[in-house]
Amino acid sequence: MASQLTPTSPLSGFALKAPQAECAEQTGMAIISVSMAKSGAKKLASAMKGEYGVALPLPGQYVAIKDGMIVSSARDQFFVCQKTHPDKLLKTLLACCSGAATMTDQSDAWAQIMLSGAACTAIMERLCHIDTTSAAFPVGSAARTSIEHMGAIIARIKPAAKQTDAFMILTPRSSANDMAHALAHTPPFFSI
Amino acid sequence: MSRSMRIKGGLIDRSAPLNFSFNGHDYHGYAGDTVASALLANDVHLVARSFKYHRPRGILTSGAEEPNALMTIGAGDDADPNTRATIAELYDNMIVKSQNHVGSLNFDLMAINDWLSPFLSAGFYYKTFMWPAAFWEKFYEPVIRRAAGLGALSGNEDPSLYDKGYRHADLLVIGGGVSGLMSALLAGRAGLRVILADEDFRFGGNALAMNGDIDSKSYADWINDTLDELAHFPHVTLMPRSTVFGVFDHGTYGVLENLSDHLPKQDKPPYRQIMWKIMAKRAILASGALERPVAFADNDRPGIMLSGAVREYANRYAVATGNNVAIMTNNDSGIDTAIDLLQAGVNVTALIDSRASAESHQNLPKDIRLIAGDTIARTSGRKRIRSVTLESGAKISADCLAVSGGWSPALHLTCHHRGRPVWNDDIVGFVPGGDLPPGLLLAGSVTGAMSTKACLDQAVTAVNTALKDLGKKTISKPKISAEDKAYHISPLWQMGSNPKARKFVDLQNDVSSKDIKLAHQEGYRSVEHLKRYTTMGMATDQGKTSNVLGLAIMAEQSGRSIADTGTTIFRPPYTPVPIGAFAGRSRGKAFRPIRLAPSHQWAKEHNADFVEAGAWLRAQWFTRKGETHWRQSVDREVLATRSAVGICDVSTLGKIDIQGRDANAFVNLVYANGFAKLPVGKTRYGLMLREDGFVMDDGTTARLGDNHYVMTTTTANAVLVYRHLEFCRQGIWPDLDVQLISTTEQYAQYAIAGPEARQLLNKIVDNGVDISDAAFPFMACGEISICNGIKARLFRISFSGELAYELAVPARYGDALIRLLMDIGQPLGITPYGTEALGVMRIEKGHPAGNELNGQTSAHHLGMGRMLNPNKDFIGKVMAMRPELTRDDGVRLVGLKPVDPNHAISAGAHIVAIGAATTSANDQGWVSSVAWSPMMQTSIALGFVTSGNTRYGEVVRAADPLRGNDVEVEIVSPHFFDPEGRRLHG
Repeated sequence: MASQLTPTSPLSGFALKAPQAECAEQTGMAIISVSMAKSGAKKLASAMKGEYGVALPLPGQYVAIKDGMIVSSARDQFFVCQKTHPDKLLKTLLACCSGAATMTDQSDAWAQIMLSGAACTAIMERLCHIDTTSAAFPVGSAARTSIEHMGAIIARIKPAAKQTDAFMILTPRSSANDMAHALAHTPPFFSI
Repeated sequence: MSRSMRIKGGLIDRSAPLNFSFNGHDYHGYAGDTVASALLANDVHLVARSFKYHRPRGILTSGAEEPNALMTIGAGDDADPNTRATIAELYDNMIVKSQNHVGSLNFDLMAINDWLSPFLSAGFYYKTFMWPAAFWEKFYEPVIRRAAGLGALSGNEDPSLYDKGYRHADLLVIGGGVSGLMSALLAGRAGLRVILADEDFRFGGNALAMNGDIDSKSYADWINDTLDELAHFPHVTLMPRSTVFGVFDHGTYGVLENLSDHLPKQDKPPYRQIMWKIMAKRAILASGALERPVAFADNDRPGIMLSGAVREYANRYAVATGNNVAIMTNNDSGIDTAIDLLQAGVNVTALIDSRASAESHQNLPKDIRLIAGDTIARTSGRKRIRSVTLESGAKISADCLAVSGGWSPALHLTCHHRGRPVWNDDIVGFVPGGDLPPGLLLAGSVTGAMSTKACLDQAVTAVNTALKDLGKKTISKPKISAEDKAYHISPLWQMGSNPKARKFVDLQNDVSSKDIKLAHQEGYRSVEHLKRYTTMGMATDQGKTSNVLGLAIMAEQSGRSIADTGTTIFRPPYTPVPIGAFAGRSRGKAFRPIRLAPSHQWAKEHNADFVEAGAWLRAQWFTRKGETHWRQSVDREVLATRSAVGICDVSTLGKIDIQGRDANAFVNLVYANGFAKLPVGKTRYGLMLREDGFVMDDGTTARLGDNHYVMTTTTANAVLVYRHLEFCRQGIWPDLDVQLISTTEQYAQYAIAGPEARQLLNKIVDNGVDISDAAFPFMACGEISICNGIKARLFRISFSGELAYELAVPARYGDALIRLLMDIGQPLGITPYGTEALGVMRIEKGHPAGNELNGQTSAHHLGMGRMLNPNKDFIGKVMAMRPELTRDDGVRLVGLKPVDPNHAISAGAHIVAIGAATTSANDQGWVSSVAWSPMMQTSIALGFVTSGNTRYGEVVRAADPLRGNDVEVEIVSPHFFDPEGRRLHG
């Protein structure tokens, strides 16, 4: 029998640091899409409330759960993101939501980048065409949008201690290198 | 040695002296200077040669509208040509050069053109260089281009970097003069998110050039206090050095911010400029007005400047533009210039007013010599004006002549949605019409308001309109005390009675009043035709100083009013924008995103040659030591796969997860062939049509559960098919309970093909997973585990025609899996293969791919007519049955092989009968795919031939006249290799 396969992350641990900002690839987050079935709204809401104690997020928002978040990712679709193994999260969701929604593993489809620091908004306004200022996009906001012609899901998250601002960026795995390139070429990360 | 023309006052920083060179000569200036102000401070007026006649030219203006003083700034690859000296901020050790002369600026050999000017009138090129026609491109045009022009690029890649960005605002204020500042201030106080953008490096607009008070504060103090307050609003963004160059749809404004042109090389930030797209709910255009000249004999001499510019150089830059300044005006602003110059200690030799009397004459200081009711007949001085001779015969000494012909509102942005300006007799100029871009409001002299008080009042009104539109509480009108003089002007377009005199209208393009007259004589009556025939209003200044003057002269010619003559429409950009700024970061490898397959790194390490497949990079073959031609690699990969086992990364194929109670019905509806009875654990080939009945895509779809399917698409059509499915789901059958999500990125998927494929897989599947032919036959699918518990999906499908599987694992394991398979497959002779070998093998098997599914072929054309299931509904059903798509004598997919195996068939060749002429009339079809088949040891092809399925054995020609290849080919079955399909069932 062959040995266990060693996983690789989309960005091999990509990280950048500048005086007013940091960004780094995050790993270990399972992502399961939960797509609402016809007439499954009430049942799904109830199942999620029971499992995570939160209401489903409205479009343009996410709600925080233990070790993760539920993001409104499309019409009648949510991404449940949690620091756990994908199989475990899928099993949990299948147990609580079957009949109300269908679940698909998306954990390997996305690279996850955490952007933090005071320069976050200045960085985002160079990359993303939607309004990411805190006035229009406060903590709790999420959007499926594009950055440098790449699909992306962004969320302004509650910054960790000692940080002033933070974004989570999900970007497709296959083009994640170009997302990293775009970030690396945005001031204050970029200098010549 | 130059003389210093510095005077007292000004807004320059005398504590920060700067050195710069102009044409190799060293000069001094100060921080706060432009190149133009610094040159004038050194008494340098001759700074350029004109476009066509190479006439000596000086600095006309003090702003972005400058037609003459175009410079090349910097050296080498960094050199930036055609930079307007009037807006280029001076920095230390700046290198400035003049342009468009042969020899020195002082002695330009091309000035001979000026003597030849009688032969070089409007339309000269069109009329003269007509024969012989071939000479135009090879001779005439290069010579003309060398003789006439602007600055030159280095010819190398632009070393500057450009970025783009996006900003959002409740209110964008365009222009940082007093109207714009007041607008931003009031909107900021009202809590709106405001962006204030101005092209200048210092806010204040025309107030920087003038003396006056607002609310008992000097203009300078009021500007500083306003900026201080604005800087304290977190919701207000100030953007100096930022030109709003275009108004686009839905409140989007193009803004070019200059970050580095004003800094010496060592201090420059990474990006030279940022192209901002600003999305604003409302915008206030407070762009002010531009002064215009008057046409008179030799009105282009160095030292002849616009009156407002002379005033600005004195008040803002502390520069006297001459020791003896004469002023020519037809309006009150020329009088203000005279007063300010007098206050600044500059000698005004005469104030000539074309008006015999004016209210403003009453208050003139006695020290100013007023000559009312007279105009200029001519001037003297080739490289610097020396004197002015009036129509009355009086001669006035002047080394600078300040001219004011009135003011034209800078209304360009109001026209970007096809708005038409309207004529206003009060200011003798065009003002914005009523059809403004949605959400754009106006304030200040862009409307024709000419007093400071009127401009500020308009700012209040505009802000209140914006507040009301945005559902906010309006503000009460503040008390504003400011200059509120009436403005008077009397039209004056041309001066002087000498019919032979050249009176320049458009200084940048050397267009004179005679050219306009000639254009009119030759029948060019539309202003748009006038522009194109004479070139008036073209090039970098886009006629900012010449437009109204030219129209007025045209109106004089035609006897129509200026209002009836109309104006040309202004389009973006307002001022020049480097192409590099439009491109932003999208250059070189960052031109667009590149998608990398899970095995990319491994493939790179193993000499893969990559090809672009949509946004993906795919390995097309792997070169091994000793291989000198790609065909060697591809042939080896094919032979190894067919004799042992090959592995190919097929992760790029689209994968769509389809779930829901109605998933079965949905899949059955989107495919033309039946899927209703596909059992769980089975895969089926599916043919998908567009609504118009043509084939859209093909692929296999696996049924993983009762209500769970995984559809595969071609790499190229992955997005298209997903979009199509979403349209069907949401738009056509909204009642179906179906959920879709792409899983293309989620899985690394490898095709493992060849007689040893099963043996290889058996090395990694976990205990209890049976992949024998009996347990896992052709077209089986299922979720399995490999390598001690890693979840995987296995599909027994074959594109190569071999015993083959596609194995999918979560993408995180993609790199490890290819390394493992290559390692444990060595004893079995494993070989990685790329897209070329994949293509060869599918052609050998007669499988259609992108070349055959080109959007113009039907199921019948592909020989798959029988797949169209008549017993069910499906997308494209009705249209697919059209006679033209189903007729028996239509084209059919066939195989083609050369009669002489040594001949190669060309892709794209057309099928014609033996002996027939290669004409469209004789066209019987085309060759869609070709390959050298290592198995058949000949060139083979797939193609579409009229009634091809009934003509097997017939010899025709595959004619490729473009490449001179004409090959006799036999029409055969498209299944060249293993037509019985024994191998894939192995």
